[in-house]
Amino acid sequence: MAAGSALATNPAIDSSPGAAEQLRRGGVDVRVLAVLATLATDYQRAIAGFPAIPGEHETALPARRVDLSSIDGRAVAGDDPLFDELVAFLEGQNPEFRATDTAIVPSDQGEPLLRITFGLPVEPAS
Amino acid sequence: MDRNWAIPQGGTAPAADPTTPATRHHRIRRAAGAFAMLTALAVCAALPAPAGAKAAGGTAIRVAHFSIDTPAMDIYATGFDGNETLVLPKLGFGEVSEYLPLDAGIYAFSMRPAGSPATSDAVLRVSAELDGDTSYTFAAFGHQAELATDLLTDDLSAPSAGRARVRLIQGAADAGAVDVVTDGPLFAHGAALGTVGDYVSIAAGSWEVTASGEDGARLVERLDLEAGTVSSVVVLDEPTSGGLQLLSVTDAAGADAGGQGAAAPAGMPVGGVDTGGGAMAADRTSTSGHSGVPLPWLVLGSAAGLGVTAAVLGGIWRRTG
Repeated sequence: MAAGSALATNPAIDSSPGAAEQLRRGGVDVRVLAVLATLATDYQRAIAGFPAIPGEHETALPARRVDLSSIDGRAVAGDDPLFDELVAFLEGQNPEFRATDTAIVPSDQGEPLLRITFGLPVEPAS
Repeated sequence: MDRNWAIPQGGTAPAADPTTPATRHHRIRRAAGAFAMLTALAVCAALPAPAGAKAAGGTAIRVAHFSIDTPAMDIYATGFDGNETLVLPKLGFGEVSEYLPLDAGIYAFSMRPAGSPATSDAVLRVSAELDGDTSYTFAAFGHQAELATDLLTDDLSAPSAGRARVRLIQGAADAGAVDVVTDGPLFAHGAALGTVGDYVSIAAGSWEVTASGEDGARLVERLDLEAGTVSSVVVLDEPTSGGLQLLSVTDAAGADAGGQGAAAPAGMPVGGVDTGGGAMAADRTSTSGHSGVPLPWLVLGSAAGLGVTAAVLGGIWRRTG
């Protein structure tokens, strides 16, 4: 089973229909998949979307940005210890899987989202 | 105790307690892993590869428990779909599992105190991307409160005739920096916890090994090395005396040298996840051609920066709240 398809069935990840479809068709960067899957092992109901990065809409690059709208049923908040925990986790990854940016951004409806962005993929030196 | 990778299909669970290290009359305590491997092979008669008949190349991983005050752990494989499978029950201090053959890919494991429900919080979760044709040891070091882990790359290439290859792993948390010398080559000087030496070629035979800790602990043992073997010698805390102990782990032996350890127990998932063309996936992850259970495994974290060579998604994931 493809990782994205498997992730789409993960009960700990409540994806929007569009996000689930993007997962199933393999349109998400493996680093994003890995982070989501790892987070899902302890945090229930992480809700994800995969906004395209400007300039990459028409490319074949898989999505390397994810928006989380809630974790464990809690809205994203910068003063939530859970937020610090997540950021520490993301920053603690090995360089190849380390997010380049983590920020709280407003959704179109003004709700806070935790946006995690990875850099352009670079094949690690062997 | 059972150090075999469990078989997630009914009726083929490995036998319990195949060999207890204490029953082996080695001066240096032998790790369970090498022996457990043989039992796994005996139990799983339908395995594709007999002992000693290793396929060239391939990916394999084993788990080593070197944390003196961390209880025995159950090791679970975690899938992207959220399912967790108990793959290695009750790995205790000083034990090393046999190798689990895998396809290259991204894997995740979680660890819980032995006997804990699978639904309980994991003590730690680890993720890594495993390269093809490489053998790894995932090792946990130190005290539980400051647990460190490392994903070691095991070079199982065969030694030259009449020789063995050995590396030192410093896993003693209470001794401070450790010197390890032999009446032949010097193994280590001032090795800090978590230090992993390169494999060195050494003449087969019996060597006297002296390990000295910064805290004054001292241990003299004999290390018997058979020609053609590849071994890891691990310095550990001795829980009863408070001193040191040496653990000799056979990484590969005889025809195994240059191979990848034990064959997979029947029914064991053998594929990494197909990461769907993700950025890192192009040449590093594939499920093509594997004959095992389609694998919803995931991510493994390696961790805490003690010279991780192949892990990608690093970091121990320990939930604090």
